[in-house]
Amino acid sequence: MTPAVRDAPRGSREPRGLDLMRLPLVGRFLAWRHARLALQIPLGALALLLVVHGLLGPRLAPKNLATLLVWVHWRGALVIALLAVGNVFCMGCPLLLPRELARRFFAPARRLPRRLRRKWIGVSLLVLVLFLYEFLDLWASPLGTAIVILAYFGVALLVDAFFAGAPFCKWICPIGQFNFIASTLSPFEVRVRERSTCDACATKDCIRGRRDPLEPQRVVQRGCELALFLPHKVGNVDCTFCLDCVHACPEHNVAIAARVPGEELALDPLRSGIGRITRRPDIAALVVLFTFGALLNAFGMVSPVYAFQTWLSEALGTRSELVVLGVLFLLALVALPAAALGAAALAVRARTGVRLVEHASRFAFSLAPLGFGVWSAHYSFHFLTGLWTFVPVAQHALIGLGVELFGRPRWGLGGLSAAQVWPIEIGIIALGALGAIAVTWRLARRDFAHRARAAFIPWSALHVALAGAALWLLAQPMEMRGTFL
Amino acid sequence: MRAQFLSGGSSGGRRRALSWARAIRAAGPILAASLGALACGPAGARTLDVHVDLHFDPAPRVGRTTCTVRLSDEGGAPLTGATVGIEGNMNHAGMVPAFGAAVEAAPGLYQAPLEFTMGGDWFVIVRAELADGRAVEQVLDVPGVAVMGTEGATSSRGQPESR
Repeated sequence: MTPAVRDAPRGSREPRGLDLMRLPLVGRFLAWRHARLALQIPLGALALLLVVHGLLGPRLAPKNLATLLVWVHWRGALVIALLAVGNVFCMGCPLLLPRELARRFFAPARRLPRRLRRKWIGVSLLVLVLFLYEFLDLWASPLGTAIVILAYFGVALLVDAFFAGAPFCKWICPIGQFNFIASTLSPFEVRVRERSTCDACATKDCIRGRRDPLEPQRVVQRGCELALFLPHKVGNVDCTFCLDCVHACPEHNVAIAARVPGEELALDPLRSGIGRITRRPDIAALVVLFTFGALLNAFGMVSPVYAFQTWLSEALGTRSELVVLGVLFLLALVALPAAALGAAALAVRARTGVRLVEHASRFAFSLAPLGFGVWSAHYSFHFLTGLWTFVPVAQHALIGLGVELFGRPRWGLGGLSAAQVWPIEIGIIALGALGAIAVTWRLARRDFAHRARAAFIPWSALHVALAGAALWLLAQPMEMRGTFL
Repeated sequence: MRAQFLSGGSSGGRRRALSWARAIRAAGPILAASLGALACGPAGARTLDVHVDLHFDPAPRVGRTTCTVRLSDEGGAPLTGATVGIEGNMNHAGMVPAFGAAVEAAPGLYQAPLEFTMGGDWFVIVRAELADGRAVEQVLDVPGVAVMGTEGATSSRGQPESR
């Protein structure tokens, strides 16, 4: 391999376009020290409401706010926010409220063990969440959904109670890992405004935190807990948009700036808190899981999956859904990616002599736009077709509490029809595929210069094939079932 | 064309979800004690001395069907003169339910049109006001509503349960 385009300078380029921090009202709000808390408190209250309704409300999923708002509205709003702005759901994440409260009383000093400071736990937990979603039919279980929310709060509190910094966010939270990869396609990024200001900075408050001038041991505003030193930060991976750096910087030198979505996937500078992504097989594995998990999640809701599962059940001679689903997951998340990426990498090796695994790991990042396209198309379907269904369910819940202020439930409220959403899904998948192909071209130019086509063609063919598979999946009749045997 | 009455048994998915729910139910009372004031009631009320059975003709598939509700007492005698309404909905949240007002086609048999708009697991809520003034509400699972043109799953699988 002859990398022709060498690494970019350390850190992202200085922003030139739109900066959210400079927008009139938005900028003032974001600069407010309690901006994150102001987002977390209502989301925390909403999470509490969902837990209560999930545990004690109707057992029927379409009539329960827990299942409705989590699996239809939150997931849809999540991908839309990631596409439109950035990782704003991590910014307002209510899971951190209990730990913020706990840390007022005790502050852990030890760090997560070094050998665990990789994404493998987060990758495993993301697989587990996807598996449990299918196995326990979480989309149909208000109680299960409530338990998942509670478990999430518990694990976040437990991890961050034992270890300093934000290890839960950085290494463990499966939703966070999902958001980190998806936010590589977001149009905004937290970055420095003027590099020269950072070069002249002696205190490095953005990473170390701002100290009390009279009592230097006391941190009055913490710096980045995810170990992203802003002048050397590149892209959105590992950035929770927590705004700690914004509030810590005494020079007001932090921007939330517009950028080209997906561009960071083709860059390989030394990134603060991450290193070079081409030397991070855990992040490459996360991207692969992100992409093939999107296809699997969509596959789980269409008619052919049941025929396939029944066939698998007969072939394996078992009626255990645990076994059949486990094999399906192995096929979809291990065997299929290994075969698909292996085939593309083999084709490139035949013409260039690259090392197979290293090359596949470098080009795996090109899958991210397509993966995000599939997630977005899938979640948009549920979100847009069920857009207004929260109204009658909320009315129903209020009536259960004796509040009839908003009238009888208007059960007829829905959203767009499936036929209206279909062109939107096609458009999103097409954009994802185009993004994947564009990133592939950049990667091919980076790694192979004048022989870029040797890598570009096989990988682009893979993206087209996966996009075709995604379109085929989304064109299948929906058949939302909890069982197949 | 296939017709069937649905009253006993349960779908695998529902059965598993409920079994899992039982396993974790131990945590419920603790939370219920602390949050009980905010609780809403369950969606379906069980009426022990009234049997509610469902019958679909044609069998549940995507599209229109006629839903026949059979109301009977513990001795199997038909309950006549009731006002019956049905609501079909999917197990997955975010779908618009389908409603139908049933008319009494024969003693104790009430018919209403119902449209299954999507394949998958459905449930039907039967609400009835009996001639003696009692109110009945039961939820019956209709699992695996098949997509047109695909092999129907409901014919070979367990019958839905009444809750």
